Amino acid sequence: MNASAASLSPERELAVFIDLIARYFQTVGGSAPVFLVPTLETALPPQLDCTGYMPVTGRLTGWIALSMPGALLCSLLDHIGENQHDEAAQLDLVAEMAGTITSNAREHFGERLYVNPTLAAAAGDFPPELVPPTLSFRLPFRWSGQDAYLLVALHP
Amino acid sequence: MKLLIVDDSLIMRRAIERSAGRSRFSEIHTATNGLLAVEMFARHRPDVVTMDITMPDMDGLSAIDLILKQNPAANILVVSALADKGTAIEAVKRGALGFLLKPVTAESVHNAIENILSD
Repeated sequence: MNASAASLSPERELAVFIDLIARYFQTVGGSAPVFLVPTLETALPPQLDCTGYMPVTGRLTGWIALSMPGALLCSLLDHIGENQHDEAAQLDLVAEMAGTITSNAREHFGERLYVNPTLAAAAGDFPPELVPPTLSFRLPFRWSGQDAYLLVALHP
Repeated sequence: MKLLIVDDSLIMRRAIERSAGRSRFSEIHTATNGLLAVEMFARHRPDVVTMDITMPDMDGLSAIDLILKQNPAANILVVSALADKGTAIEAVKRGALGFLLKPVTAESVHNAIENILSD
C-alpha cells in the first residue's frame, strides 16, 4: 500500500539521495537515471533480482537498500569493464553501490548515519540480521530502460 | 613494483586492478578486510596500498595504523565512500598519502596512484 511521500519525507533528504544516485550513475554508467514518483511503503516492497542492504546505526537506525534487476547490473558491469556477469558479481556490485551511496550521504547527515558493512540478497531472500520495516520510503528510478529503487527504512 | 588492493568488494578490487595498470606492477595482491591487509602487507611489502575504510573484521583506519607500525613510509591511498570531512582528515592524520572518494573512475584511480608514486 502506497501513500504520498511528501508529507513524511523532508524534501532535503529526498534531494540528497536523488543527487547521490545520479552522481553514482553519471560517474560509473555515463548518464544519470530518470527518477520516478517516490512513495511511502507500509510493507516490504517486492525485491528485484539483487538487493544491497546498508545497516545504519547511530542517531538514526535501520537500513537503506538498493534493489535492482540483473539486466541493469550487467549493463553497469559492462561500463566498468567487468566481464564477470554472474549472480555473485551482480550481488557484489549492488552491495557496493548501496554502501557507496549511503556512505556518501554522511557528508549531509553527519553522525546521524553510522554505516556498517553491507549485506546482499537475491530476490526472495531477506537478510535475517535486519528487521522488515513497518514504514519505509521508496525512491524508484529508471536507467538504461530498467526500473530499480532505493528503499530508506530509518527511524530516530 | 608491488600493489596491495584492500576492499571487501570483488568488483571494486578488480576495477582498481584494471585501473592501476597491470604493466606498472609486477605483483598485485588483494585483501578483503583490514586484518588480512595487515598480514598481506607484512608478507609482500607492497610499494602502494589502496585501502577501503568500511570493511568487516577490521576497518581501514585501524589497518592503516598497523601497517604504518610495520613501515612508517608505507604509501597508502584511501579509496572510500565515506564522504564526511572527518574521515578524510582522520585517514590523512594517521598517515595516508591520499583520499579518493567513491564512486571512482578508472582514470581517477590511475592518476591518484601515479601521484603517490611520483611524490
